[in-house]
Amino acid sequence: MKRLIAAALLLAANAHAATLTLDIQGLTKKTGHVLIAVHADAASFGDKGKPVAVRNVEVKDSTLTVTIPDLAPGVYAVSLFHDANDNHKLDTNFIGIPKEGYGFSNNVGARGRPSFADARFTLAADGTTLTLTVF
Amino acid sequence: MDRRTLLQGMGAALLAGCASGPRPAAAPTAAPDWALGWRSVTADTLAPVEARVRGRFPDALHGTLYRNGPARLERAGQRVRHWFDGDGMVQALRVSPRGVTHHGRFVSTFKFQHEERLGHYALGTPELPARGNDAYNTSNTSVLMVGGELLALWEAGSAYRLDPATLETLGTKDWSPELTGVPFSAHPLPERDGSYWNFGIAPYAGDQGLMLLYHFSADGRMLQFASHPMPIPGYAHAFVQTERHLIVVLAPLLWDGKRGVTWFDKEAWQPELGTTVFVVDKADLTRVVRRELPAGFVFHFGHAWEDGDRLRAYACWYEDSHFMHQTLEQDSQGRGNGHPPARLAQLEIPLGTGEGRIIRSPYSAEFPVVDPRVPGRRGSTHFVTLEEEDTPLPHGGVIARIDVEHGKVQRFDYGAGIIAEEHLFVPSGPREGQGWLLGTSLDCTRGQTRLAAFDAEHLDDGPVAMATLPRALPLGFHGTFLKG
Repeated sequence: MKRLIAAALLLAANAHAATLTLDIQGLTKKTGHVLIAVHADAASFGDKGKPVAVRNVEVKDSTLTVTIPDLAPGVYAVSLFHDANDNHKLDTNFIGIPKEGYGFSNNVGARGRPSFADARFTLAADGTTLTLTVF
Repeated sequence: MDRRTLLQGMGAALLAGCASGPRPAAAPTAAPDWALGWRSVTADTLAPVEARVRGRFPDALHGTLYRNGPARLERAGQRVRHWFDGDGMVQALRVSPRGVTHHGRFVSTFKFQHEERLGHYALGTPELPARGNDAYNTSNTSVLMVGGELLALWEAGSAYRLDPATLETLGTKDWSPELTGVPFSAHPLPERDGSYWNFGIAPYAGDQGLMLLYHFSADGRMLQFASHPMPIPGYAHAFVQTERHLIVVLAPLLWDGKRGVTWFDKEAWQPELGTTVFVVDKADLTRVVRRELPAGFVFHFGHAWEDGDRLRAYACWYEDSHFMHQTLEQDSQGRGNGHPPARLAQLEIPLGTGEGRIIRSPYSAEFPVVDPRVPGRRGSTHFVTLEEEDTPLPHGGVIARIDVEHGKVQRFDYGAGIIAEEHLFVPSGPREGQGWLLGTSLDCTRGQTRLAAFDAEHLDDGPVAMATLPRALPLGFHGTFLKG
């Protein structure tokens, strides 16, 4: 019975799961980690809720490919930053401008933090690949 | 040789077409090519050349005049949106007993380096992603010697450090980890003890924007730093000081990040809001008051002082912000573009209640320079480039010494086809304004930049010396003179 339930859950997950692939470009330092968050709503995107997925990927090159499986197809926004000195935060200067690389889905945010609406994209049932340029 | 003979000699040399020495510039044409002032330099350095010198530069002027200005204004057929967007190039004009030489070099900013490599403008595109203010830094406005380094100043980001001998770029001036890449104006003000004040404005920071205030030492250490929410997201290019106060005059030209409106957009001009004056107590940078003036726009200031219950400051006062919205073509049209020039005016700012007022002088002027020995006190002498409105020419070559207390004016006209640039004052005697005036001008007919020296008390006698370069440099903004 237990095995049956497990199999059913697995099936259910597979039925609704889509894979998000992120091709990340423009990392200027080959140190530290890229911290990635996938948000399903504006609250999470604005740091007031919980992302549906997070990743912490070591940087060894100026580009990086990350796959995030098992997401329900739907609308999301991605935010990331390059924690080049591994201090677990996005370093900013006095006026709040990032000193480390950052990026968002749709490559918005060149001149300030974008809204969820600006960064939102649709994850298709058969998966979606985004190319993200790090500012 | 007396000065009149010198002038006549110069005229003769100019008429003769200045045949001596190498002259890569175009041969003289009948009509001035005003666009020379906004023409790009396409090499990253201008190798040293000797100038042809007439007259004698006084010993007090043996040293280097450094000047900064936008010198790369187009790439791959695309021109910059505004003059202020051109890449900064620093020019060094060296005066010695052996003669006058010139060399120049672009500031190697992030933007310049990468767009040189790519051959076209690409900043902010996926080809050249840009993060933070310094990605956009053109380092094109002024220069200042600090701690043995020549700082190339911009206003919306870091100063760049240059080697004063070679003009090579050494990196950004990082005052502290948190003050990297923050707005730092191109017009620091010298305090009497040799230290400097400066300000920066970041209308896009936080909820209300931030006004930044700096006090730094001549050897390049930050002594004091403060910040305030901006009273309005208005614009200021320079500021001014009295003995006890720093005065930032914010034009009603409003940055609105949410609507994507920057200070360069015409819709930013909202004169109904009036001009906001932000007055800071030098003894305690956290103490500020806000005052009002009628709507107007200022780039540059002259003398300012305390006058009982009010502050008085001279400024080159524009009635609106049109200069921020002009194309390079409109810049090159000069007076022909239909906008009146700035008027030298006294701003009267009450420290108590009541509205301030603007007392306009009859003189249209820009690039005001004052005797640095009277900072924050009641001075009279302003050295300016004078705009004469009754001439049919688009640009003028007139410089003047305006004594605002007595209404006396001395002027010198370089002549038709010449654009006068900022002239700096170098003191030599105890009186206010006693010394030398040193400045450049662009001869748009012959395609030559020249450096001239004047007795600052006798401008109308004409230059005591003039050096003519075998090249034309695009017009620059501000400079600094380093003795030695």
